Amino acid sequence: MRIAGVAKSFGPTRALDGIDLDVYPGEFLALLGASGCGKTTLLRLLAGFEAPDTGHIEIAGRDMAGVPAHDRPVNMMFQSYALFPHMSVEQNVAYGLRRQGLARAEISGRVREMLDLVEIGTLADRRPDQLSGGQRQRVALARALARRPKLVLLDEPLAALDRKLRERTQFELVNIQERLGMTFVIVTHDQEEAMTMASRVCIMDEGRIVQVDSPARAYEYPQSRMVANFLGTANIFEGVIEGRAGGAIAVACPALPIPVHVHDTRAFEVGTPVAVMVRPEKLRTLSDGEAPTFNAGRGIVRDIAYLGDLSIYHVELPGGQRVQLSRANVLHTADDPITWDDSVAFHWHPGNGVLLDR
Amino acid sequence: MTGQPTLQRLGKECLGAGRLLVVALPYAWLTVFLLAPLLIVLKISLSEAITAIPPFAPILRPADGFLPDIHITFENFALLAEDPLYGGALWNSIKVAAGATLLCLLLGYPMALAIARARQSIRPFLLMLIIIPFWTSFLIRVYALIGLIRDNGALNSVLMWAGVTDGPVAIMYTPPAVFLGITYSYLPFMILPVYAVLERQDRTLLEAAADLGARPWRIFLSVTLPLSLPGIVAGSMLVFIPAVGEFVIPELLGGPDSLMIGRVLWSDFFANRDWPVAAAVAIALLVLLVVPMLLFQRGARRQFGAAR
Repeated sequence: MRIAGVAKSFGPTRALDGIDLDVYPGEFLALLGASGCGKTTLLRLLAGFEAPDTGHIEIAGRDMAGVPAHDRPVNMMFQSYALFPHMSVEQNVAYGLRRQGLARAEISGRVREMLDLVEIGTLADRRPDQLSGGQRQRVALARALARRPKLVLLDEPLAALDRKLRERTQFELVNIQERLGMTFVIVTHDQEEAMTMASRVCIMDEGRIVQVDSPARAYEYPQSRMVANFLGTANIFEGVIEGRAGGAIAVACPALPIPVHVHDTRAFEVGTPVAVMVRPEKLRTLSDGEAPTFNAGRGIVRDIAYLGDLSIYHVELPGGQRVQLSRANVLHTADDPITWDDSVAFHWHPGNGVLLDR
Repeated sequence: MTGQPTLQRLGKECLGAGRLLVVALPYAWLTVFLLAPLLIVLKISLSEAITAIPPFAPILRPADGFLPDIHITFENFALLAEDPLYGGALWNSIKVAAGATLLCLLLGYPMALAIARARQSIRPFLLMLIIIPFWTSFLIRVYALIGLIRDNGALNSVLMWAGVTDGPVAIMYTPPAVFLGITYSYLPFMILPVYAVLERQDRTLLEAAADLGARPWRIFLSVTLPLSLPGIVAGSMLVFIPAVGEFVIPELLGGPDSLMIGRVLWSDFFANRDWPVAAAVAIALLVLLVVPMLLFQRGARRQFGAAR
């Protein structure tokens, strides 16, 4: 599937602006962004519920311009599930197959297969309002998969489920997608969900695509502040380029007492304003004897968030900027517990920082 | 300290009384304006006709003993069963009402659908257009219809001017005129409940159907229509029930052959001054129409409820 130069406005609001995106067969792509970033609009364009103002959309080698929703090789799972309330589970799943004009026996076989796939084989005769939220979600999924579409669109498919069920269903969705070999495009605002399931995440902001990458690359090497802040937590130090230091680029950051070194192959002019981004878990606390000559700082612990598996410390630097650093709670009781108002020194490896444009 | 619980209790009692009042009001209303008249009519239908004022014999008459004598007769109802006039009029009324209901549905459903699918900003305006006729008297609207369809009325003038017919088409005083009048008068009662259901319908269901390969017509038949059934039932009842007993429209627009039960009832009551038979017609009509419909509605609700 290929999207090229797609734009869409609703009145004065520009919902999508110059979207170019290729989706590869068999991949699991997540459209990720805050609400109002245009991800749902993009999904609706793919489904054929809206037409783009400019640009074109190609699905399985076929231009989709002027092709109505009912003729597209695409099926959608709606956020509200949109199950037909006057039909049984079986009739809901069979609805799309009936429209294809399949034989009765084949339809019932396919319906059974789908219901078994999503593990609700025993609920075939129930009506949607007799089902729990999780069961409805499965019916909606079975209905979207039943026609064996080339492309399955999922609009916030897990948003209505509680946390435990959501986590379990995430893996099930991935398993189903791998087993059927279909292409999934999922819309979500939940970065954890996107990173758990997707083979690639496409991060959107204000109607534009800001980055398309594997979850790991997008997290470790964000290309913009927006991505850095959206995926997880980011410590950002403003600074200017000082020059090269061995294999790294040296940056002078006013918030930190010593230079910052970042591994980066790009060429920057001395004096260019930049920012250095480091993830909280990449910061290591220093013991007393250590005195690195770069990538270090010291501050006072102001807040501690104990999350069980890890603790997050908010450290206030002398200039007032706050830095978050996290430590995994590997032992029941740490030898060197950090507590409020402690002075903590931290350090990170030059390979763990990312240079961002200011 | 001691006064507070008493105050609270007092407050609770006041609240209880208020609640009782709220519940009692509709019951009182229904008792005075529905149940009592109904019982009076039932009483009249069971008494004998006499030439007096009022023109029926009392059911309870003073007797020698302590208890009064009770005089009840079922002759009025027997007459309804024997005289083919009543059965024929009722059957004719049902046919006309059913036909008008169907016509109202065929005309009203597309209108309701169009309003429900119109842009939100113009919906109140469109609804207003449906409701505006209610601002004038029902009688005036029927008279206006007469002006439109009478032999030298607007419709015939246009037809003759256009050369479609040489002489006027007789519509006035024919069954089609009654049909037209009822359909015209009751159309809003079909449109409004159907609109109410369609307007609340979840649009994503339509998208889901399209997404699953259904063409627009198929979406209508398989999703929109079945889900609007409650509105269709409500609208049909609102049109059908009053249309069966309609008196004014057949009287004004229909000829002598447009015999409808409402007209029969009227002539029994005013022309023949046979109140007991007229009352029996009213009771029979009620039992024959409303009871089956209540049963149907209850059955439908139970079926719907079972599906939940």
